[in-house]
Amino acid sequence: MVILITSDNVKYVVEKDVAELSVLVKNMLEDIGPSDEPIPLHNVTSTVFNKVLEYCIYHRNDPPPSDDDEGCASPLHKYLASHICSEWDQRFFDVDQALLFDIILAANYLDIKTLLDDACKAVAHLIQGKSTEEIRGIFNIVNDFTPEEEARVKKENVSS
Amino acid sequence: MGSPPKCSGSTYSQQRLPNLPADVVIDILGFLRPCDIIEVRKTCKLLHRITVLTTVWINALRTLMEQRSIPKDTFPVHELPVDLLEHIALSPHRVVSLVKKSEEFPVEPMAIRVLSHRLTKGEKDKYGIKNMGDIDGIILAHGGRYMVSLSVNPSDWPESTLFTLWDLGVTAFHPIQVLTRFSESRVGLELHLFFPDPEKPSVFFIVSVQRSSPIIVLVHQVLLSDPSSITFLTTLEIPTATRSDPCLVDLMPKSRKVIVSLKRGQTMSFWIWDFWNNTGARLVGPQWPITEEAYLLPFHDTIIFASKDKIAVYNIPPTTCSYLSGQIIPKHEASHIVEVPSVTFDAFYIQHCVRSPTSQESADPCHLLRLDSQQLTVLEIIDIPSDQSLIPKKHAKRKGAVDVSDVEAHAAARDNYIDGCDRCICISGFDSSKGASICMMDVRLSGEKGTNVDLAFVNASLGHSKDDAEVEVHEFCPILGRGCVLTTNGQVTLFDYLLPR
Repeated sequence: MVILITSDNVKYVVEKDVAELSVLVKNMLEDIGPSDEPIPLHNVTSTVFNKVLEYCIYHRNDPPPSDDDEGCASPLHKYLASHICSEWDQRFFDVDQALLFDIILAANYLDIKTLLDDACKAVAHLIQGKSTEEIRGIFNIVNDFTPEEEARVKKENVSS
Repeated sequence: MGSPPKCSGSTYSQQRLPNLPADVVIDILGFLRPCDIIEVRKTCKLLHRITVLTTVWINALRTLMEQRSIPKDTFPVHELPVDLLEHIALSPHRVVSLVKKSEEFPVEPMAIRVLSHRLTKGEKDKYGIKNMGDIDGIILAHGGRYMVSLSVNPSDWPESTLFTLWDLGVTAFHPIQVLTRFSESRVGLELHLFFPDPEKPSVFFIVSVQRSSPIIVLVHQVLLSDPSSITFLTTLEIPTATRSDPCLVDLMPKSRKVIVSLKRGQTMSFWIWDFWNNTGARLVGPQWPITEEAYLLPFHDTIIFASKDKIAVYNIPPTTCSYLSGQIIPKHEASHIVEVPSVTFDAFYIQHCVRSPTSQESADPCHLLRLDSQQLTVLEIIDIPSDQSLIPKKHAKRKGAVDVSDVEAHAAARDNYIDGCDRCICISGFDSSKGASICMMDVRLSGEKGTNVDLAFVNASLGHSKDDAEVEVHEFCPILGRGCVLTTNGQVTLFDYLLPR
């Protein structure tokens, strides 16, 4: 068992194989050796960590992502090689955008590659097929181009 | 870190996407189609800055190349400048826009180039021939950059066939280069396949057929570089009564195995040949009367053989038997036959894979599209999990049909190069009245598990009608927007519809 403490001081007792899905935790455990010391997770709140843990417990027996050919596998390759997004995953990522981005940041910090990829896929799904305006609307993106810049960017990026 | 002050704070209405770590944004972009990346680029300055990065376009082009089985050396992503990476990755999308536009006004090619027939003095000495002769076969490899041509010069003695490997360049700005040639002593060859070796980079294979009795299938190995070469690899002899027996050749996906179908009288046989190990197996095919128009559609575990109104599915037996000339290869009987009601006789079939990086399905399901002059029928290819050799591993299930009688696509589109492009299926074709034309079908599978088929036809005449000589072969590659036309006078012309900005 591994003891993890989130940034809002909530303590989790997690089975080692689940906790080690996080490369960050795995490396920390290797560094400190066998110990009962709790591991602090500075950048993750308990709200987000609950989700992360749910994912890790569900996917604990998945084959590990292949770290093949010095990281030059393309996203498609990674995608096809990794598990296919299941109905469970779809439901799991059916959360509000704020939480989805928090999951991404947590997965990035904790270094959980499969969760990061799956969450990125979920964001990509929101973008796919949308226009510039729609993407701005979905993600509250402020158009910070000057009118001249915007005209230039539009001109450089016509569809054909 | 790096986030503008106005976006700090804990409210969730802040701009989250642009302020994610750049690596994460790049990961997200990796799951998007190139045209989606362009939409993201136009949203704000930060995302603009990320979407012009070389990494983003290397990822995008790699994904595209993997989806279409384009070998890595066609577009060496680490050597190409970012604007060219972006151009190539976006080209299928631009071709679709172009063809849609052509409904309003004809689209002219942006560059027209003609292949030179001339041999250098060195080449004449090296290959022992005086001139190249008329080209009578071309095949463009996936990706539209490498092409192999076959020419016969009957004036030389002894007669020979000249294979030529061409690099047509990534864009029309690049020169057309002859990479290598090979003089093959056999004559009367038909060019059938030109494909990359799935096992080794920079290696391609050419499959050609000599119409003789027996029929001879030849494989030549092509090395792309250091130095480029074409060498004879192996042959397969198939006993046959007459040299006019209808014969089809196709490749098992991503393998070194070809399938040859041969009709002898009323019996159809399939020869599965692992040309690398020279092993094989033979299947006895359908016994029903087969029209001239038949389609051989290999999958990794099955062969689908389709004629006008019937589809037969055969499991591919193990190809462990060594093949020796004249030796009997074990027979395997038919597995499964599906009837497809047909109105007309001019049907042709297309294999279609719906693939998108974020879709639920990955490589499967494959669809089979059957097009005749009345309707387009969509069949779904479903895997049947079973260990028994008598149960076919695939099943073709009819999903729906759309009336296409008002579309003139059928006349032009037959027996031609086909490629999935964006969400569209692109069929290039020609008829004597129109010259070369490109027909595009926008096929969408919607609803629960793709039960509905939405179709839209875009029938374009991308304007290169040839009036002086008839078109014999027309290849169109949506990746570069490149058309390649061989006319009956032996001339090869390249039409590039896209150029980098």
